[in-house]
Amino acid sequence: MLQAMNESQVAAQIDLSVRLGRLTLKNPVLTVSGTCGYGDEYAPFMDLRRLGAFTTKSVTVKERKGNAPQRIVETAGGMLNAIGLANVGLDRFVAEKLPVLSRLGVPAIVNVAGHSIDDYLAVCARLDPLDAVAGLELNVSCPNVCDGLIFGTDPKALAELVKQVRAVVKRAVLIVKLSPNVTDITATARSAVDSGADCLSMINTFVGMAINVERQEPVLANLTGGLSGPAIKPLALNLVYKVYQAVAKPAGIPIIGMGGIQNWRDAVEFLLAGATAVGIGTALFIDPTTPLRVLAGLEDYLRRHNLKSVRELTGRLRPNRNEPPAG
Amino acid sequence: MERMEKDDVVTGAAPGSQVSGSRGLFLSRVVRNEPLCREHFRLVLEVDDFPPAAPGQFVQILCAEPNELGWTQGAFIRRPFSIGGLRRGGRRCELDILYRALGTGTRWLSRQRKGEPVSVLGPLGRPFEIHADREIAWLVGGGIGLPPLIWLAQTLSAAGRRAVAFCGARSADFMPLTRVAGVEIVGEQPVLAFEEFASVGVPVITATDDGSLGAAARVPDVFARYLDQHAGQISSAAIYACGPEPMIRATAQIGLAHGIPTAVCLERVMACGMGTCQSCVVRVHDAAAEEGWRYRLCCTDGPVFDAREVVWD
Repeated sequence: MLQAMNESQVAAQIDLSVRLGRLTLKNPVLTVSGTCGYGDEYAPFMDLRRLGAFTTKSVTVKERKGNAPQRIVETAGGMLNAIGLANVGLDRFVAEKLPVLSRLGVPAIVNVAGHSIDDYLAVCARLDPLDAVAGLELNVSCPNVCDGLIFGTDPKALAELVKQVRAVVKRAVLIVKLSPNVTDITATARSAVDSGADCLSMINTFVGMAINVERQEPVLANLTGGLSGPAIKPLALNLVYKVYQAVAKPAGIPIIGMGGIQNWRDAVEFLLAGATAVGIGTALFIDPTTPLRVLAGLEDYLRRHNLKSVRELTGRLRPNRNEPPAG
Repeated sequence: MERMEKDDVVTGAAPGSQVSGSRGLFLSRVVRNEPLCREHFRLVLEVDDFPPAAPGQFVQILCAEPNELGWTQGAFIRRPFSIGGLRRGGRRCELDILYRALGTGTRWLSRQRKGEPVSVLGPLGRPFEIHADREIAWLVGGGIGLPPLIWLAQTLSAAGRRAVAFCGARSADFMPLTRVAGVEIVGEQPVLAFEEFASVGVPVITATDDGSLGAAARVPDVFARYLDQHAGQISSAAIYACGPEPMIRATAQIGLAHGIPTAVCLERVMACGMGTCQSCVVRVHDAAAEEGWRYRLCCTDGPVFDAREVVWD
């Protein structure tokens, strides 16, 4: 009991809140689109109200069945998925899923996907006015649909998309989720920010492949899939660092960092590299309570380092002190 | 990552997490873990406060060492296993898991010894429905599909139903069941040959691909012949099937052709087991859907499906 009191007193001293554009979150730990359904799937495992925000599976204008199975495969330190944006479609999302989301007691970010600018406009214009929607995250980087990568890899196409969507998104925070499958991610990041994005989330999965050598066939029916899990963490961290330095920091735009986060230490790495918040994705499949674990560890870390606010961690990375002497 | 002392391992639940409703995350302990035949192991786990569960449901087991930061080594994503039996005593519950030690995850599992911690998520999925008006149960299973049928046989027996099991394997040394000493298996005769079924009075007809045990035949063929000889029971029987997909499909087709209620317990590659990753899809008929079918999820809509709704292609 005494220990519990001490913990809550400490919690009161440490400020975990962060801002994503106009949206204030009580803490920086979010779920990642496509790994947590539409709302209450993980309710039996944790109090979802303890999350900073909840991000839904992608919503498209029309219902999508998704790709044929096999849709996933485990690879070293991660997994490939090729779900193919299976979702209930905009109408059923609004009628059936949004009421559940609005009862979660946590800001809901809806991930939006499409094939054309009109697709994105239709979904965003319909969802933006709704109170239950705190944020709209543009999925311009799904590697598992035939033309899903165009907006995510072409800075000009992305600029046009974000500009037009920005015009219809008046209430919700507009987040653009970046693809890592590009030569220069700062180009797409700059394009999104210059066109009006309030926030960047990064990164989506890396395109990968697995082969069944006995059958001499691809394991996934879709041939390729998106790689997630701890295998991609160092890659994601590097991209967050790059975008923070080159684009986000100068523009004052927050980054939601994601890619293989399994524990508080991973989360702290992303914050130090420049993220304002972090997303927990694939780890939810293995332990749905991972966000709570991360939060507890993060709070403890801040206390140990005498930091009053989690915001002090963003971009706090210091130069390496073990540099060899010059000359 | 450093490994913690076992006593400190609390992967069952993160700080502040709650275990409510019908499922949860548990840190179990190994009670027994022993080979049953050439590839199969029987694992008994003890768990406290495991929620109510029924045959057909499954658990997701983390085939890796739980530690302070989450988990490490072994397999990355959890592996689904049917619950093959469940015993309760006070808060304590024992779960029977039958598995084949084939890949990274299951080989890790096969190395776990008595007392070691194993993280279990469950119970998951929808169980078999026991038909109220069908007093005879025909259990048709093969290989690693047998565990849910073992537990189902126990449940049916307790509910006063008559059951006959049809059990298949590649050969005698791949049959994941315990022989009853002194009971001979002859051809396609139902006999109390295996402890798992005999203990609840359920006779088994055995088939192997190579004829090294029971009939040299595929299980559905043996089942079809039995059906012909027991046509009078068709109106009072139900079929429960689990095993390799071709076996299930053939059994479902027999059941459907005779108008017998047929429940099939399916297996799919899955990551979460909770309806979020959307990977474990099963094609089902739906007249309202485009092309007359849609996907349902094995993990939350199944793994038990009515054979009539599945698209058998």
